Parts: sequence; C-alpha cells; structure tokens
Amino acid sequence: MLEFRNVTLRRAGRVILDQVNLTVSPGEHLALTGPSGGGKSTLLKVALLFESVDEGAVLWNKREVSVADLTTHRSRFLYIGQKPLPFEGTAAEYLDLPFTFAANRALRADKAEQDKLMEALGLDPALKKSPYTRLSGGEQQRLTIIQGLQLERGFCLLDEITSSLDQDSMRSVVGFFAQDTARTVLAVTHNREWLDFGFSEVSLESGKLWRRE
Amino acid sequence: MNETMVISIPALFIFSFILVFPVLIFRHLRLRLTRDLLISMARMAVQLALVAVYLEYIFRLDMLLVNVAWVLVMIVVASGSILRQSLLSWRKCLWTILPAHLLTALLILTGFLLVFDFATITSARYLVPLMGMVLGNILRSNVVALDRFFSELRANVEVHIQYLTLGANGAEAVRPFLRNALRAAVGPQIGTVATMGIVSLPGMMTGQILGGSSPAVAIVYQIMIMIAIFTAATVSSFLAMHFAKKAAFDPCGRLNEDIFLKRP
Repeated sequence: MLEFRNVTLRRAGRVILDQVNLTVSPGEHLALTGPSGGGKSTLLKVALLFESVDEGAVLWNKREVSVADLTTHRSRFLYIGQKPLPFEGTAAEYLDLPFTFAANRALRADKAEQDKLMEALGLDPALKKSPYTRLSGGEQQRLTIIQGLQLERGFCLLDEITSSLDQDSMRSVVGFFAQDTARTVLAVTHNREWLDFGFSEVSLESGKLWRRE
Repeated sequence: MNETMVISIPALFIFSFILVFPVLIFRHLRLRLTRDLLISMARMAVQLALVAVYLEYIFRLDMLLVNVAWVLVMIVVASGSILRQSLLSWRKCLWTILPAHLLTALLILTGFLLVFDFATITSARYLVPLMGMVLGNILRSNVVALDRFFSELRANVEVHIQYLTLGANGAEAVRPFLRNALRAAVGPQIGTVATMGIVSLPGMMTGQILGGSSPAVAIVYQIMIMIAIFTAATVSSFLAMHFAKKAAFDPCGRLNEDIFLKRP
C-alpha cells in the first residue's frame, strides 16, 4: 500500500504539491488527471524518491520510506514514461534489456510470455526481429510497456503512456491494465479513455489533490 | 641536421601585415570582428613569447623532476579548461576529473616507453612537446563528451528514471548516455584520421620537416602521435564521464544541480 502523507513540494518559489494526501490500496486502479504543470508527473517521481519533498512523507505499508531502503522500494514499481527508451538493436533485444542488468540476472526472459503480451497490445510477434529504430513511435512505446511488464512488478506508475498511441492501440493498452486486477495502477493521463475503462479519477490542480467519487 | 632558417622579429612584423586582408573583408561585410581578431592575435603572440621563455629555461635545465612537474601542470590546466568549457563547476568537479587525465597520461607515457628508451622520453625535448600535443588534442573531445553527457541526462530525466526502476544500477543507467556522448566526442576523429595526408599535412610533420627531418622520419612520428591522440581522447573522455558521474548524482540518483555553472 502506497501512501503520500501531507506531501508539500516547492521548486523555485512555486508550490508544486500542496499538502497532498493519497492512499493507493492494493489492486486499486487510479487515473490521475488535471491540467499540464499541475504536479502529476512530480507526484509519481515523489513516490519513487526521485523528487525530495519539503514537507510530508511517502509511506509503504504504513512505514516511511527512507534512502536506506531505496532499492527495495523502487523494485516494487514499474515506472513507464510517455516516451520509449532510445535503443540500438532489435526489438527482441530491447525486450530483453532489463535482463541484462546485474540486479535482474536471476530472472530469465520468457519468450512465449513476450509474444502473448505483444498480441494483447496489438503487436505482431514477428516484429521482434526488426531493428528497434525502424519501428514507429507507437510500436516502440508498446514494446516499452511490455519490457516493463515482464518484471512482474505489482505496482504500476504510468506517466501518460498512451499520449503517442493511436485510438486502437490506446484502447488495447488501457484495456490491458483495466483487466489486470493483480496489479495496482496509478496512471497519469489526459485521456478520458482510462475513466471509461473503470479507473477512478483523482485530480491534481495547482498542487491540490482531490478525489472524485 | 639542417638548422631551420631563423625568421627575424622585424620580418615577422612585416609578415603580419597580411592580416589587412581579413580586416578588409570584415569591413566590406560590416562584420564586427576586427577588434576581436587583433586582440586574439596579440594575445597569442604574448602567450607564445612567454612559453618560449620558460620552455627555453626548462629545456636548458632538463631535470626529470622538473619535466614531470611541467607535465602535471599541463594536466591540471587541461582538466580545468575542460571543466570551464563544459560549464561544470571547477570546485566540485576538478578532483573527480583530474584522475581521468592523470591515468590517461600514464597510459600514453607507458606506450611511449615501448618506442623510446626511458632517458629519451623523459628528456624535456621529447616529453614536453609530445605530451603537450596529446593533452592539447584531447580538450575538444572531452568537452564534447561531458557537455553531451550532462545535457542529455538533464533533458531525458525520465529515461534515467526508467532505467533505474527497471533494476539498472548507477553505471547501467547512464550507459546509453555515455555511449552517445562518446560517439559524439570521438566519432568525427575517426573520419579526420582517414583523410590525413590527403586533405591536411599534419602540424607535427610539417614542423619536423621544417626542422630538417626527412619526411620518412616525420611520418613515423606523425602516425605514432595520431594513435596516441586517438587513444588518449577516447580513454580520457570515457574516464572523465565515468568519474564525473560520481559527483553528479546524489544517493537517490538525482542530478546535483550545483555541479553546473549557470548557463549564460
């Protein structure tokens, strides 16, 4: 369970987050909406301790997260941004990238699982042989989502991951996360689609957070 | 060896009037560069005159310790100049960058020891110009590497975060940035090496031929120095980024903004 408790964050004299309180329970699906520059992306970075707060704290299962348990804390999350990662190599190599990191040496890429995820997000598994740079932005973005999903992290922090996708691929991505009741999802978005798929809306406007019921 | 013909100072002065032509072109185009040009030329003349005085002195002294100390001074000045040009703080980064250039210098010196005997390479006449050429030619690639490395890291914070949350450690998470920066820094030099001798007669060779060496002797030196420069550029750029990244991130993997000088 992730909790933001009284989080206030100021940058260059501006209040970015103002006394934000939010608890995300296991299995919950939240869409974080609000105008650009309202602090949505910053809140995700606060959750991962990539932004330090001026007041308040981030808690995991009611315990405050400190720098000492940074690695463990971050390994609970899947963070995906709005742009695919720059990469040289084939799409298959891109999907295997996380398994090249020392921390993931014990894990193995499951090729059949990769194919299944590709089909679920509307990608032809044959694309795996293509050079990554030849793929379209939308294809790269969906591969980036699959790349992260393989790690079986229970909590997804998604930062406008569908902003570069066309209508069909967007629906397949949003639908995938909506059906995935095993994962907790906090998705920053400008897109109403997420709400249509049953995500609950939390809104962040000029640093103030409120939950719509 | 034939002595090089000495150019007298009055002759040099008269030669400098050839600068009238760039000045006329600037005026014709209303380019306000004349003042800068004259100041730069004057500065160069004064600096080189000073260098001549102390090199003359160092060459006459020719003591191992003094020669090595002189190379160390060159390394510190090179590191400082690289930091200033890549808009990094001298105070915060010098101690992290300096080892990169010390190690590079050590590597190149070890290489030179395969070619020269110890007494020759440590004599002022060989050590100072050879190391000077190597250090002078790695400035550009180091500046490009550091500048590219940090500007891309700042512009792509999300990529760095994504790598770290995918389980990458500090070194793994900066590898894509390091790779791009190194390519930008030393990639173009590979092209330059390939045109050497056809497009340009390199400076060292020209100097040696004027100094009375046969072209056959001069090209061997030139080939050796090109290999040394390219190796030094690659190794020092890589190590400089590798060491600089230690000063650049806090324990949470956030960039320390205070290592950067304010952009103008």
